[in-house]
Amino acid sequence: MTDSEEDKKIMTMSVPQDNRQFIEDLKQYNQLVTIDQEVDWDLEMGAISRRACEKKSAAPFFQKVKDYPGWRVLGAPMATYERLAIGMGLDPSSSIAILQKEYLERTKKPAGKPLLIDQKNAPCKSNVISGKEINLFDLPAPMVHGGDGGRYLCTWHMLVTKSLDNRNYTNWGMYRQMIADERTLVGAIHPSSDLGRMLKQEYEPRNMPVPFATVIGPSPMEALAACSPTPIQEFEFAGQLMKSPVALTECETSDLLVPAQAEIIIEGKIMPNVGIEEGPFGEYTGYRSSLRAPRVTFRVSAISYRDNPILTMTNMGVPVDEGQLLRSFTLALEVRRLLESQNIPVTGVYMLPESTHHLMVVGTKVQYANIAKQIANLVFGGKSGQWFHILIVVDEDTDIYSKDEIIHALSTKCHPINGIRQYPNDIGTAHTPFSSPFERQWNIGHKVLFDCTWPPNWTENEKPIKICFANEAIYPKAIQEKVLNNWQRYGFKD
Amino acid sequence: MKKEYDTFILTDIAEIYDGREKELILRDLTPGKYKYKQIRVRALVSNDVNKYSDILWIRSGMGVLSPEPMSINILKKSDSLLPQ
Repeated sequence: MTDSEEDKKIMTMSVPQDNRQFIEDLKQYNQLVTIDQEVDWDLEMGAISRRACEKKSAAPFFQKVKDYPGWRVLGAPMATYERLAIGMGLDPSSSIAILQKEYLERTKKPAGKPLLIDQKNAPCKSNVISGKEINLFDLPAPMVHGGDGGRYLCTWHMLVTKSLDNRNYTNWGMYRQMIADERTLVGAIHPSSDLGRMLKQEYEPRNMPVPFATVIGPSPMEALAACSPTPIQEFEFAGQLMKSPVALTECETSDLLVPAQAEIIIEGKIMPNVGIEEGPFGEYTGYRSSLRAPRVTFRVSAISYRDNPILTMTNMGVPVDEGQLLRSFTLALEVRRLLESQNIPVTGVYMLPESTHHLMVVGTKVQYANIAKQIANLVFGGKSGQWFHILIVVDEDTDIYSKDEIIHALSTKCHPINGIRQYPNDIGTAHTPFSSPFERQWNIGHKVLFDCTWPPNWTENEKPIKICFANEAIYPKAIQEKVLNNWQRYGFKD
Repeated sequence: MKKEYDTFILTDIAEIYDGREKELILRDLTPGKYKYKQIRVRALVSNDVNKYSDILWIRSGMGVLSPEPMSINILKKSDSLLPQ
């Protein structure tokens, strides 16, 4: 398909403004399976969602959940590029390159100020529970994986908090949260995350509780913004992705603002310097690799939700699910922005979701020696660098979206001695499976660069010639055109 | 009727059935919507599954279930999950 044919696929639909519209759009494109039979929240819902991810099936939409009459659950909402495209208001057959292009274009334009919706008109405030009535066990939280530390209520959501020192800064982040008891959630907050920094540097030294709002069932682009390592505030970023300002409403118990059309809002305070046992939990790496430990404690003071409420859930495990797909997608594009801001001649950046966002491919036009090392220094040293450890740099004749071509480049162009550079004792995460328990505990990571570019000092006679149909040095254009024009006549069906 | 609980052991498993009263975080495994609710208790644990009235399953810090359960005698339930 040509670029102009691809471009026609853009803007075939409007961007879904809430989870309900998203569900309707998924249905329209056969990306939803509505399950009418009763399912058990204790492992069955998790098993169905997991299998749906592994088979790249449609998203399961559970209509009846055992013990929870009146509640519905949407699983695996954006575990495929097709559903990401629908969430962006694009044709589900859009290529990854088109999705990237659209993301980059939209996020160059201002979103406009958020719309403030009165609480009485906000769908997320249709039902409000407070005081003695609060009971997190009234929500159909799944036991996602056998052996997890508890029922993870919050897996497709965002946690909204505000800086203490800069009251104009609001953070949205997708940090897992588990039910401990009727009024207590516990969650894992990485110390180098935006919320982790706010806790450690602002609130905990002053022993001050942190008002929070957990937003479950946001619109797809609000969720994407919460996953993205964007340098701007996520509610603005979401507005850019949605191509319209987000609609927000006030919380019951704090001055935080939350998406007015979200499914469920849980409000309360993070207790400073208090840890209750949390985890373990099957994570985006495809493993359960960090131990149960005392972690961040959330005390709940209000719950509100839409009429006919829908809980949303993801199930992280072996690729590909939302955790890997969306983080890979957004990390690659933010890294691309970083490299372009430093005038690196980038032809493209792609992170394979199958790598559980650990492997990034950067395409570059080699203009000088050691450009791959320069790229590695920038990407590993930036904010996003802690989340991945493998960088493959290819030159412009490798299609970064093609696994076949990446493997070919890695196998044939990366010199085992000169082309591999290790970066020991760097920053990492608590989840990396190959890291030792000590390394995981202290977020110690190690990185590696695979330079798959031809050295710039090789002359044209020294560089190997790529043997492929599209290389005009092998098959002149006239021959290529003759073969393409006669392809079906030869008898080929593809 | 015996109630069933589980707990995650983050240290040496032999420490919890050494005959001394222990403070533990348990998860209630009673079927229903409160399954997996956490409670803080003071209890006695035995690796003899018939010694005490209730059953205690043991999980490692990574969630791996031990094949054989223990028994537990809950002496006191706390109102709070926070350490006393």
